[in-house]
Amino acid sequence: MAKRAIPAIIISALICIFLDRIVFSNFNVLGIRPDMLMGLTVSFGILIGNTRSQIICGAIGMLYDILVGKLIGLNCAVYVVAGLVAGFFFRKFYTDNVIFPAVVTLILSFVRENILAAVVAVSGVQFNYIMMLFTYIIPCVLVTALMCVPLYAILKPFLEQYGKYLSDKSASLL
Amino acid sequence: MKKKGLFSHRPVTVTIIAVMVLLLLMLITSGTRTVSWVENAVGVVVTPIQTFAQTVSNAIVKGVRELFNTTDADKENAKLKAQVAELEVAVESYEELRQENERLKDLLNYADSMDSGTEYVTATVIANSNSVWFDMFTLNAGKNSNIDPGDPVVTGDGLVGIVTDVGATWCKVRSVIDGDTKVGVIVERTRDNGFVRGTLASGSGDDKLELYFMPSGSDLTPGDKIVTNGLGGDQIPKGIIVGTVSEVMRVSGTGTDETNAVVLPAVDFLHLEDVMVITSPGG
Repeated sequence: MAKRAIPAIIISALICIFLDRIVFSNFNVLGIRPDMLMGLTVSFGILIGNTRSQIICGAIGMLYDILVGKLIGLNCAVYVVAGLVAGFFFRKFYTDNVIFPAVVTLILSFVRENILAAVVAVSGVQFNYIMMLFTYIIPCVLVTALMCVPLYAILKPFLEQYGKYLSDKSASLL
Repeated sequence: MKKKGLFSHRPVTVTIIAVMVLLLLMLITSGTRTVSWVENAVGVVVTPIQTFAQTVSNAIVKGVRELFNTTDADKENAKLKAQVAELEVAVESYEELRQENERLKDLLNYADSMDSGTEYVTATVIANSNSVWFDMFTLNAGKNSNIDPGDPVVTGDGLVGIVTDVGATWCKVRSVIDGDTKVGVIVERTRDNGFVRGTLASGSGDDKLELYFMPSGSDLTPGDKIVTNGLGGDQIPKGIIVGTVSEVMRVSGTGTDETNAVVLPAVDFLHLEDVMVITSPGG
């Protein structure tokens, strides 16, 4: 199980970093970019549980913070919490449903953008929230949720059995 | 049997503790500080990988842009060019070198125009932030090249930003269009002093700055050049072009933080590649 799952986790994480940091930094419309790491966090959370999702995506979030972040720990904290929330649905719903992960991503992504807006507002930057909501936050959140669908669909065959194995293993330990 | 509460779930408790630690870390790192050895080590390891990834990405981006810009004649031309593919690769590589040469020449011309004794380091952008909330980017030069926090970053076109964190082989730059940046400026024509600040539109191609704190009776007109005044309390030398006034606002009072004008930045932040960090202003 782990033979297929671990390379899939590593490769998907690297691809998401590349897409977030390089591709969507160059290709975007009016600054609207999907947050691939959020899609990855939710997919991992739902397919392999909260702990792994939190550790992997929290670490990538910390890497983002160190490389280009203004506040060290902000992205890490967001993805750790997102991993926990997504992990609540681990083995609790029918994994063939790709709409559910997209909805979870949509909600978590919306919360993330609002946290970032709050941090910016607290740091003293003046901006029109309503304008940002309609011109940036909502389009970004929708694009992120949309991108989560193929990401989840690609990861599912590799991680579903591994998730079941992990779940059975932890159940046998109890 | 006693029902389990929310906090009796171990993952929730661990997450709350982790988030509290991270919040503390954010508070500690929000001010001016020295980069920790962990950040430094991560940056040193990742910088060469990022430099490589950015180089590959630039080549891909350039290829795709050319693809979208082609007309029918260009497409036909491309078909013919396929026959001389090897030569084409050589031409591409020559073109890349020519463009790099042009960019570096621009920087060199700018360096020549600076005060004597000005010391600078050229660097390449290897990563940038992925949201409009913050506009930060990373350069592949750091403490080993004598870069310090607060050093201004420029291109031949004008002011790019200010160095915030410095590692051994990398540094983070807060761009001038970031909402948190404030720079002391002067209107070139009228010699009126004021400040510019970034707006939350970075990376959208609609980058703009706001000019504020202008003295009462200041006469601003669209097209006025805005340059740094060297008085902002930062290390930015006087006379670096920041941008051009595009729209003048009528505000109730002057000398306040209400916006007096919208300024279009001189630098194209969407196509930023090579920059120059001024490590020691001359004069």
